[in-house]
Amino acid sequence: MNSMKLLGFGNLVARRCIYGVLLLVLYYGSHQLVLAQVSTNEASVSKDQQASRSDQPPESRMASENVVDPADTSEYVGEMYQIGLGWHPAGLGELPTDKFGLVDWVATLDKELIHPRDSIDNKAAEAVPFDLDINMPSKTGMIEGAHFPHKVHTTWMACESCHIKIFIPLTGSNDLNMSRIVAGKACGVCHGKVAFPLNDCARCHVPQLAPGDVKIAKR
Amino acid sequence: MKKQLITPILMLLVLPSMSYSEYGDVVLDRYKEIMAEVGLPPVVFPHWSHRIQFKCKACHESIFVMEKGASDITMSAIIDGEFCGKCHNGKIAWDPLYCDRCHSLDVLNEKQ
Repeated sequence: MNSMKLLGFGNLVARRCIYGVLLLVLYYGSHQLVLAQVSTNEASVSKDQQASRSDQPPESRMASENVVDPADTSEYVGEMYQIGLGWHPAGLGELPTDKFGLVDWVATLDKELIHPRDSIDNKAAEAVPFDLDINMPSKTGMIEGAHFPHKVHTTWMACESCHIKIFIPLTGSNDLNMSRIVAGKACGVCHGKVAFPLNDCARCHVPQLAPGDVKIAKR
Repeated sequence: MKKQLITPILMLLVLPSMSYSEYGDVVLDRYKEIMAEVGLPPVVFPHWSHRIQFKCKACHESIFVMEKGASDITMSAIIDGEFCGKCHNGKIAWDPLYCDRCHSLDVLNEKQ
């Protein structure tokens, strides 16, 4: 306040000018940063940014964080994110999130926070989800076997989205391994793009289920 | 009081020119070169806003095949009531007249 008076400006006008200039510098600075990051397409982000990123919990998505580290694959859900754009600061903030701070769509639906419809046709009857858990034994023994719950998937999706284009519905007829999945085949068709990322290992590799055990539940 | 709001309002006017990402965004840039010729940015499909109102099965596979490049989406097809035009026809959802709502990939932020 005193320094403003010393500078000979009117208090309010000076403050407003300084705030305005600061905000504009901040905004254009961040925009230029995005441009620089994307155009050079470098995997390395400056040390300051890395520090600020690791300090903050995943759920805090600040507007100033509109630059992402291309080497960080933990939150690779969405092509805009892969291009290098940060998460929208407001976006889906109210919905439950997973450990990466991404929206947990299964929990969102379970808690009835959203009521998505089955069809664009209002009169169409709602389909009953198909409840069949499939347990796949680990091939290496280095990790727990994988677990596929049909129910969660058929709540959202139609059978023909996966069968038989992606998965042959016969035990042992699908070559399932993480290299194929990471390359965008099998589960990787959706997971990491529009469904939870592949490094959320424990959501599929569940320890308590016996390997190879196929449970046929009521429909 | 009103004068104090000038800066925040200016910020709000300037900020939307910046693109952000959200869960499951898909960039539709099959006709990128053609679009670039007329200065039209590629389309960003926000999966999340549709997912809140519809399950995957509402659109897949009957309207859109879940494979990159499998659906040849053009504006004429949309106007004829195919693809996005199944809903975006001015009856179910807003009609396809607001270019910038879909053609929204900030070209400045585009890769390389």
